[in-house]
Amino acid sequence: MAKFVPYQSRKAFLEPTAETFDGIEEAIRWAEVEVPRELRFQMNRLVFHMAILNQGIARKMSFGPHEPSGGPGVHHQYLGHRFIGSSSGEVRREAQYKTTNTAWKIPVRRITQAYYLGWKVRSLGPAVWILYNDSREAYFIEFGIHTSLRRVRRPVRKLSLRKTMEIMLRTSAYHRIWVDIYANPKYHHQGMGFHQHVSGAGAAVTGNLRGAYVGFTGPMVFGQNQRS
Amino acid sequence: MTQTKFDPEHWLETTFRGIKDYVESNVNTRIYQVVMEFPAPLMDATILPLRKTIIHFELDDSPEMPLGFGDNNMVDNYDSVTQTVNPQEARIHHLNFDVGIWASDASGGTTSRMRARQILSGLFGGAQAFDRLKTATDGGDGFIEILRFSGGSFAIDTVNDQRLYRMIGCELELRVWGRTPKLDEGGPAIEEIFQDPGLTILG
Repeated sequence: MAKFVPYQSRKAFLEPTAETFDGIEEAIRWAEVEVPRELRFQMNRLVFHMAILNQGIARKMSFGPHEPSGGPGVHHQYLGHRFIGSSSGEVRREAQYKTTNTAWKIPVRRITQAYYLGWKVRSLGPAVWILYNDSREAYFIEFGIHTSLRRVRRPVRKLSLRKTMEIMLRTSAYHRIWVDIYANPKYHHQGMGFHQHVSGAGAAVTGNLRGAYVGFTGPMVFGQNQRS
Repeated sequence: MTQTKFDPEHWLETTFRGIKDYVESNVNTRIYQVVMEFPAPLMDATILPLRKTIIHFELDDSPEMPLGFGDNNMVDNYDSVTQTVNPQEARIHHLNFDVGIWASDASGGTTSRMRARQILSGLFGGAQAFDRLKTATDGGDGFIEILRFSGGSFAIDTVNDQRLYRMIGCELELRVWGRTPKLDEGGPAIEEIFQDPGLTILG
């Protein structure tokens, strides 16, 4: 049984609790008044901790029962098919599969654990962080795409981001955050705030970022403060 | 077609049916089919290829919040004859839907998918859409409010080697105001507070 690891980053961090965010907010206020050059670092800490908070929630939703034997041929064993007739004369072929009770649910069950361990954070620049999942199955799980007839949506990325915002709502740093996740992800570079982008699994072939990912950036007012 | 009106005491079912009726009354139902869930089981059971383009609404999240302070009772329903009260509690519900489109070559392909997205934009995007949905679902005791509608990217999926042109990642967020139904019997009302005239404040 693997130990559940909610947060993982090469950068040192505090556990992202409400107290952590309140402390970062205090540091931001201190920097705004006393040491403006510190502001960018504190903003970066805020955004980074939001990213790992989202990572922890996404990993929790991806840490289902461990079934290493549930690979292809076992978890979704093809048993055969049956033919169903209709009054119009058309005959429909329906495949029969064997599945286990732990399949197709949230938390997502672990077969190889690639999806659970695939939730990672990385920095794109000052106060810009993304949470992404580089496993091949992330895209299919998120949108309910599967080669078999059984297709079930498990929107881990979307729900984990909503839960992140719910937690942020209870911190004193909430007024610095706004959500832009509902903008068209094709134009994610045009907005500020939260970004969300989902790339197709085809990107995995070219070695680019793949799977589902969520981006976090600091508020736009941060840049304005720097210029003034 | 009959449009379901919003009823705060049956807020969830009237919201689902209200949305379904609202969309169906504004699209050609010979071309489009509206389902209020992720249509995977439907896809398994349907004779392919799809003859109609499917528009689905699936409830992903429904956080709710109390309204007001204290016990959140919005109506006391005082009965002076029986001297009882039957309070009703009010709550705010935010309903987050995933909206998707499923088209096949037989149902119109990518053209049908684009048209469906445009229709949805007209039905749920902007101030005019807010007013249209309000008018459609207002039964005199509340209505459905649109908070946000956006997103959506196109993807190709296959079922039994049949190509499906899907729209994924589109969200609709609604707000409705729910109210608990009245209980069968109310409780006793506090008609008068008796105060002992002999009471004194010490200190």
